[in-house]
Amino acid sequence: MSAAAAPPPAVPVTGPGAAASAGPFDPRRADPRPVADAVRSLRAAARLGWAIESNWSDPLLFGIYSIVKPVGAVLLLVALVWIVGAGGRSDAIAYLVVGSAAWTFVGGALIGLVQTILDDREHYRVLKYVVVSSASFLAYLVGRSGAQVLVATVGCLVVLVIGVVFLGVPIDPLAIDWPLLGASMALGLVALMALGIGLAGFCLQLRQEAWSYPEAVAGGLYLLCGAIFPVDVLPAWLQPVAFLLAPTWWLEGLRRALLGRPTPGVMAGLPDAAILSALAVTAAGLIVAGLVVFRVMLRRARDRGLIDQTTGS
Amino acid sequence: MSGVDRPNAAPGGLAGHSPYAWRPSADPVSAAAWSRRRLLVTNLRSVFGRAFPRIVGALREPSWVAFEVGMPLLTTTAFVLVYRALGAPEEFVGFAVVGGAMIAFWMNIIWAMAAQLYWERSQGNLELYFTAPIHLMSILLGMAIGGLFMSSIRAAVVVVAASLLFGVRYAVEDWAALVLVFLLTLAALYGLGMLLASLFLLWGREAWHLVQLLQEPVYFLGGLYSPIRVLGSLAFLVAAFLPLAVGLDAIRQLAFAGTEEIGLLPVEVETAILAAMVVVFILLAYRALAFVERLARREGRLTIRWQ
Repeated sequence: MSAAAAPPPAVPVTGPGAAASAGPFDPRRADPRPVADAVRSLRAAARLGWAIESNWSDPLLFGIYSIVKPVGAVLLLVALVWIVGAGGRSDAIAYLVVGSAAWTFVGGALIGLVQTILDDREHYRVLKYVVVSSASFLAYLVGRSGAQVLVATVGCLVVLVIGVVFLGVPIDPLAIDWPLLGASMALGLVALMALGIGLAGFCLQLRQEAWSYPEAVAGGLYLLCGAIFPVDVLPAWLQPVAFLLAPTWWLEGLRRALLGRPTPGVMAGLPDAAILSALAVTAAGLIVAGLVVFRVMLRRARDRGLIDQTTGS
Repeated sequence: MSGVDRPNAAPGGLAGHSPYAWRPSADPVSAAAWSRRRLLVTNLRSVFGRAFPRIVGALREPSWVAFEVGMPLLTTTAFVLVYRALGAPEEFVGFAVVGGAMIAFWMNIIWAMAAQLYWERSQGNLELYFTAPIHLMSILLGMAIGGLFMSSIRAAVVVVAASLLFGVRYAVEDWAALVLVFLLTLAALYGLGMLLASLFLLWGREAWHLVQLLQEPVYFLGGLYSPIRVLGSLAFLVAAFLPLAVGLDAIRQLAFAGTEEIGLLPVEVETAILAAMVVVFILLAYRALAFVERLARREGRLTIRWQ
């Protein structure tokens, strides 16, 4: 009886009741610090993205998947060159290898980013929590796709190494135009992510076919941007469309930086500075358009209750 | 519906015949003793029941047509333009178009057959399949029939549209052989899909990566856009395991008469390989599904979501 009546031992208060006993409310903790918050969200989302991409699968399978898929894609293209007896055309093989290697980033930065938002809504059903949390949603999206971009980087490098070692692609690390490569890659990636962000906002509005939109957009870009054949091969009426797209200039910049020569045809007459300028202008357009579309679409999704909608797709 | 409305139900409920029994029975054991006819009819109903939403869904939500037809057309166009950029003979354009059409079936098999049981588990349907008095093969057959409907439309539109767009000229001398090879290819492919469905279920959440892995590498090994012969001696190994490769090779030889020299094996041999594949894959799928079902019932683990 006496033991039951004794007061409970003093223990440090943790958990839900901790705030009540942690002293007066500190208003500084509620101060908005957008940059610091965004960086924290980005970092957390990147870690989460990496966990989903890699840790949740068998490491061996993940390694095979990261390498075999892009290698399969480039061999698929090189087979076309071999079968028509153009195996001696090293220029064609180099063109295909670099384009195919670079295209792995479209899978990570564009398709992966859109599928992230759909995955979180439909599959894991956490999108509503992310949106209502104090984390920066935009930073979260970019962070989640960061892991996929990392996987894409590995795939790209493997394809390039295979191209150099087994297919004779003339890439000399000492002759690479590193500033052009860095600038093209940075601008191109940002442009792809901006496109992905805008598309992610758009796909929030959709039901069944939302998953197909990023693939469709990537398919259209694959055809138009000179990924596997020069823009000159396109019908004349489609070529201006290709020149309006940032990935066209991104791929040309990468090819010039890695191979040390421009693509024959229309592109050959343009200096490197013009390629970079065109990439910067088209990327800026995509960034502005992507952010505006994303904001508008996110607001619409909030208004109409689409954030926590599950379509069963 | 109340128990009174049912012909077998007694007003007293459990005191009379069970309202859930097909016929009056003395005990649960005799209630579970189904005739062959009833087994067959129930499984056929399951086939129809699983095919029904795919067919009706496709008709009710026609927006898929834009993607299912437009996307392969885009990819096929890209490969055709590569051939043109390389100055390839015109029959190669036809090869790319036929390969682009066959992708419809392969995509359906890996996404809507192989990975389907995994998705069904995520949606909570899988335990219903395991507890229902049906064989899982009937569910997969229903999926295959429903998927075939969509894939056939997609493939047909790709062939017609791309042929018109790029002026492909076919030269078929033996239509019967072409149809036979095509049907055998589909049967072997869907048999493989059934086998993969049980394997994907066992491999769990690797399904997404596995599906991704079965795309570009298989397009290359299967000779989707270029004849499989380009693989050299590796082609014979691929032809022994991948019905897409051997079927497509035979279809190309039959659809473009005069191009037999780029085929891997004579059409008769490839037809025999396909027929053998049909039997082997369906038998293996049957065994694998039985194993998965036993595992599901014994360990109760396979139906847990997110595993």
